[in-house]
Amino acid sequence: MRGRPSAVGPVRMLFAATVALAALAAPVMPGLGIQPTGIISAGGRPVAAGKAAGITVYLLRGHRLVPVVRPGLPGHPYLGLTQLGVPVTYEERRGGLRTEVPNEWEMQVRQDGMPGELAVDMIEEPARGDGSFGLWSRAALGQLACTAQTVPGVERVVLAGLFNKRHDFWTTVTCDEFEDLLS
Amino acid sequence: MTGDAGRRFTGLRLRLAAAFTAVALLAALLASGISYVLLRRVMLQRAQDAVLSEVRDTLTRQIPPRLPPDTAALIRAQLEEVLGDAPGRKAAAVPVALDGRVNLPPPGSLDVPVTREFARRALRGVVFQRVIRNGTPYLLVGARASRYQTTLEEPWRTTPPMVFVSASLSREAADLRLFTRALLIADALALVSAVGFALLATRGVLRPVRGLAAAARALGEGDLETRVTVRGGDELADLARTFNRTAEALERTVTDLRAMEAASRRFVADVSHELRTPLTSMIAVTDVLAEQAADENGAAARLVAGETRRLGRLVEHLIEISRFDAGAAALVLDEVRVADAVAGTLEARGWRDDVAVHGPPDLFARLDPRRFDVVIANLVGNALRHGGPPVAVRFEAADRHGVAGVTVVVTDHGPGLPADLVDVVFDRFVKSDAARSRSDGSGLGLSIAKENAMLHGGTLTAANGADGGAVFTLWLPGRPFPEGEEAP
Repeated sequence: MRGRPSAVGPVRMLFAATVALAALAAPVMPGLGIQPTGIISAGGRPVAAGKAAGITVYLLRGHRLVPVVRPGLPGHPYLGLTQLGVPVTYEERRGGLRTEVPNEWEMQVRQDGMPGELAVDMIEEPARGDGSFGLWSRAALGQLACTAQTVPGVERVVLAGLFNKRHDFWTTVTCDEFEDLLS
Repeated sequence: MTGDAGRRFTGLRLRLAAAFTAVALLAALLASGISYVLLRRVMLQRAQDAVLSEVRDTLTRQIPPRLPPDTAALIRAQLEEVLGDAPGRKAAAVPVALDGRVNLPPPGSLDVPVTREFARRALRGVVFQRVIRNGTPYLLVGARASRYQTTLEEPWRTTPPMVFVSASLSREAADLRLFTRALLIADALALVSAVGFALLATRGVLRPVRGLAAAARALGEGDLETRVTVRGGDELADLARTFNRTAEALERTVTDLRAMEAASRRFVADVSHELRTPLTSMIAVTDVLAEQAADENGAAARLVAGETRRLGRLVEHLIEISRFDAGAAALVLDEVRVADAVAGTLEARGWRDDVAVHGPPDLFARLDPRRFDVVIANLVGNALRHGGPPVAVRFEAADRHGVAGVTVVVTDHGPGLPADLVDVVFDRFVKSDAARSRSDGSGLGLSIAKENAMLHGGTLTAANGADGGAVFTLWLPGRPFPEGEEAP
């Protein structure tokens, strides 16, 4: 007469089922995880809609300082100062405008002095290293001072690193000093 | 694999449990697979959407519709800082070439290289691609702003750059690995539970089946009163009811048949007993008649006397075999020297000179000497009548299956047993056609010999010898133990 099923039966069956599970899972395993894809389109190009107020830069028409409005960049309130060093645009050039601020100078603007004071570190690129810094024209300084004072809260500009007539490297200018150049 | 071991792996319980487990396993795997695919899709979609949205929003916020001249470097630096700020991300902004060429970010600026095709498509819209590099998945995004104003004369001075962002998806990959591990553990637990439940369920389902199987076996082994308990109203209950009805019918039929068989045996026994007394008288009278007619032409009287004696032997045999059928035969055991017993049998029947006897003279056996005499006489008489000389009787001690016993082999050198007779030679009234025509035997001698052997717990077999002639082998248990030893 047949006895009761042996305890070996379930164990073997469990083993067989595990093998079956592994066999079923084996073809699927390589598909697990993150798979590479081809190039997928995610819609059209985003619209440039950054909000930034226009900046006023003082250019020269002849020998007179003329305010010109250029578009600004978000988060760059002092962009006008660095814009003085770039060549004028075609439209501005056609309007007889020019700039005397040399473009080999890098300006680093910071507002950490007295209230209403804007500090501008002038770094000539490339640095000659012989101490013979070139002198900026008065018109260029006027462009700088008047452009800086278009930024709300700025009353004067402290230029650091610009060799001046006093033979030191600190020059404080205000737009009022160049009133004669304003049209 | 045979027997129980074979049935264990092909039995109904195993098959049911395997099917149950397979279904559970399939369901668990299916559920796991679907949940895995859905979760992966959601997880990757969320990660991709986050990066794509940030790229879009950053370009939208950081790039105004009109750019001041020569601020591309400033914007590039700003975009790279904002978009590459998150952990695992790198951003590279490159100028858009206005002559139709495609600018690629410098090597090493991103975690994955940007193909020319990717950059070309990024010029037309936001694109992304999942890339596996050194085993780590990355999301590569390329985009460029639109609807900005530039100038016809100097467009290069006011054209915003395009950006490429590589974002590591290693965190998502780790989450997926964790999820996979959790699913595998859950599936393994489900599998173990399924096996357990399957075994429990099949045990309950198959209990009535096992009961039916045991009942059927008992019925087959002769226990006709076996019945199974009927529970419920399902198919198994129907089967149990059918089994019980069949068992009842079988029991009724077998009981009737047994009663009929017993009646017929009783009838044969009664008839034999009733015939015995008149036959005894008839034998005596016909013997006298045959002697009186011996000098004259008394063939008819001798024929009648011979046939009457034969009829008497037949009746004696019928009475003997009826005792076996009725279970009334009993052994009267005694310790017998086998050589003496065999010699006595041959001497009493006048066969001493016709039969060669071989065997140890001091072999003793515990057996019924009368029945042993009947068996030997039947076997030797059969050999002398139907076989050819020389007829030999060999006996010796022989143990079978650890039981001590005695073997007696009777051989002749006649034509041997016909092939179709070997298996049925001990059946009642079986004779070969040739033997039937000339034998005056009853057809019950070998049956009685076999019954006597079996009554001793021994065996009697028939075969043909290798060099011709029939070989009858009698084995009887009950060799006495040597002095000083006791039976186990």
